[in-house]
Amino acid sequence: MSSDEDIPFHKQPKWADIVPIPQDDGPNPLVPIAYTKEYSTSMNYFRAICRSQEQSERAFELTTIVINLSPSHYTVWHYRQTLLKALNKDMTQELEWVQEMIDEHPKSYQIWHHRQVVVDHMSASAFPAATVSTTPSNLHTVPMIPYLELSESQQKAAQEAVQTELNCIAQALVEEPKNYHAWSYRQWVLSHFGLGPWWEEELGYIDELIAVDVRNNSAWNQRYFVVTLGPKGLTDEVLEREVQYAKTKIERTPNNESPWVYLTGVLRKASHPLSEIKAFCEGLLQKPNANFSPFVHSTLLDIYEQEAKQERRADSLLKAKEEAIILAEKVDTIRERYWNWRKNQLKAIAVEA
Amino acid sequence: MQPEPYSSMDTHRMSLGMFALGGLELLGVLEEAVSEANRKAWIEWVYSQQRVPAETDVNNEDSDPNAALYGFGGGPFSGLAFKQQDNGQDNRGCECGPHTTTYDTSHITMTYTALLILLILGDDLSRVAKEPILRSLRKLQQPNGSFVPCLTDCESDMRFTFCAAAVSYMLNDWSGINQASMLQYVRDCQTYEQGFSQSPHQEAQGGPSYCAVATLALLGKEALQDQRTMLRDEVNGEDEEAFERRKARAGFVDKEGLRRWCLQRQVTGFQGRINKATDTCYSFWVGGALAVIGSMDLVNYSCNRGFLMETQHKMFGGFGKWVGTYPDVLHSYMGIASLALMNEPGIRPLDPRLNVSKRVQERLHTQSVFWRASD
Repeated sequence: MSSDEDIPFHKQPKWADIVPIPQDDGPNPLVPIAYTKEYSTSMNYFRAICRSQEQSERAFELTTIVINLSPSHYTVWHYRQTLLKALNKDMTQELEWVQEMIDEHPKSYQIWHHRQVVVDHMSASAFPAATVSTTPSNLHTVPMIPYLELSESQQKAAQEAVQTELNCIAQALVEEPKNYHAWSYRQWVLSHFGLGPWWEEELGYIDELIAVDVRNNSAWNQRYFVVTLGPKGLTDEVLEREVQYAKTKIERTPNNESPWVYLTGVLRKASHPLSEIKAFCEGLLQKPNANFSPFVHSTLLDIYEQEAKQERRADSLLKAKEEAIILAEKVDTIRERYWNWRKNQLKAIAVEA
Repeated sequence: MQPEPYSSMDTHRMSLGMFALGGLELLGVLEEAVSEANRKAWIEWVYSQQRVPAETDVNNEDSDPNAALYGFGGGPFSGLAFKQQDNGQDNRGCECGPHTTTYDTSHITMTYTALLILLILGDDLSRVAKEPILRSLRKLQQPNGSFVPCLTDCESDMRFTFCAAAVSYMLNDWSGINQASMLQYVRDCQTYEQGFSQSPHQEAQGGPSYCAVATLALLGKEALQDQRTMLRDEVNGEDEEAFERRKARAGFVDKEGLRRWCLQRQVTGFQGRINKATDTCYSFWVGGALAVIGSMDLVNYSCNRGFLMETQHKMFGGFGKWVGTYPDVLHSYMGIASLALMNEPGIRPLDPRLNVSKRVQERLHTQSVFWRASD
């Protein structure tokens, strides 16, 4: 005896009334693809379902079949989302399925977006007071659920929802710590549920990732996101802490670009001058593990150049020129053309003799 | 015929066609590789993927139920019938109406690559439905200035923002776009690292950096300016307010920073993000961004060329993503395009803003119906 699962879906009686629609590619198509029989057949049925806009359990099952064959097929995902709501499907169960899909296809944009659609839908019914928007433009940084105004039990529910999502994302980041879609979704989760305690906890998580791999630039970017957009904001105290944090990481691995751009980035964001790290950079030159780092020299080039421009100092200009030469000829020769170009730019700076 | 693994690109066949034909064009072998019969048949195939309004909706923008669907689809996967020349009537693709659904939609990247393919194949774009495409662009732009590719795909990021700009440029009509809001989006995506991200606050990446810079170049010279270094024109009496308005037309928060970020991506070839592995396609995405701002000459050509030569497949030809990977049509195109940016002998020069040969870009200006009268 064979069970239903051994029969191809379209041979099952429940599909008998459907007239499949084959793809009509014309007599001489551009970029034809040698589809598998399985893919063609499933798509023929999907085209028929889609044409009649059928909203049914079998249509829902078919989306699962097609998605497994072509996980980035945006049409099928969209159709599934319509069905989820129309058939009033169990969203918790859907999340479990999405989790399996994420494990298999962690780099598909559509899967992460689908998870977001489901979570958005669930939170809209769990937090009725919230103004939830599903427009794609609002996916970032706009706190949509007024967490601080929720009742204690609702706050707890929000925390649990956030925790479930952050765990799911963290699991994907174990496999691929720089997964762009996973990070994007993580930023959406943090923002969507409002100004809860997860923002502060996120720093601890990032710190763990950076401890594992100090060159994980995605984690550094997330740090910048949390520090500049979190509830606390970039206060003087936070800035001081972050500057120290980056400096410590630079001292240990001076040839790592991530903390350097982070350090100069937070200073710029807080409108602090780059000259604040001049002594730090000059100090690094004395360290044997750091004086070959292109980033020490390029940051000093920037600092001296600025000094020469703003204070019209001939000694700063000379130092800037020396840094450009070291970069072009010794520590960053692949960018020789760039550093020589920078050196030539210096000629336009007027200084006092 | 593409092998089975390309099935996952079924919705994007038009862009695969652009990579294949654009690659032949850059290699200077298009005419010998594409027969006259194929050239004509493929132009018909491309037009068959166009979606145009029903007769009753042509002058009916406000209540047109299909207003977001116009432009080109990536292939006939939604199940529409193939169209061809019929009784002397030109093939302009599928008329939307009661028999179509929202799933028959065009896709903005496919519209962009369809227009390029038509130009590459020598078509004058006379059957392109410009007004309907502009109508759809108006529906696809988001409040933050970015674009979704179609209403059934909610990704809104820098890729589709660029495609909207490229389409508007080729149609020689920007009325489908709110340019101020588009510029704001581009600026919002320049990160603390100084490269551009797909959406605000994400990590800077090579692909969106190219898309951002090319968008600015297509918008025009003013958009390529740098807010940080702009000065108020006191001599000519520019007041604070006028200066702020002028600044709002500049697309860079920091152009020097972008130049630096791009050049820092060179390892031998290019990486797409800080501390990531090199990948053939970034030799174009990052190189293309540099070419648009006139800084390609600061790249170390011999290192980049050496990397690209290694990612070529020894037996099949073509370029893979990494050394030792199988070649594919996207990475092959990107490898050739990067070589074109470095003036490789035997490869046609490339217009980095549209990402097509200069020859085809000139054809747009001299032969397409949207440009030839206005020049």
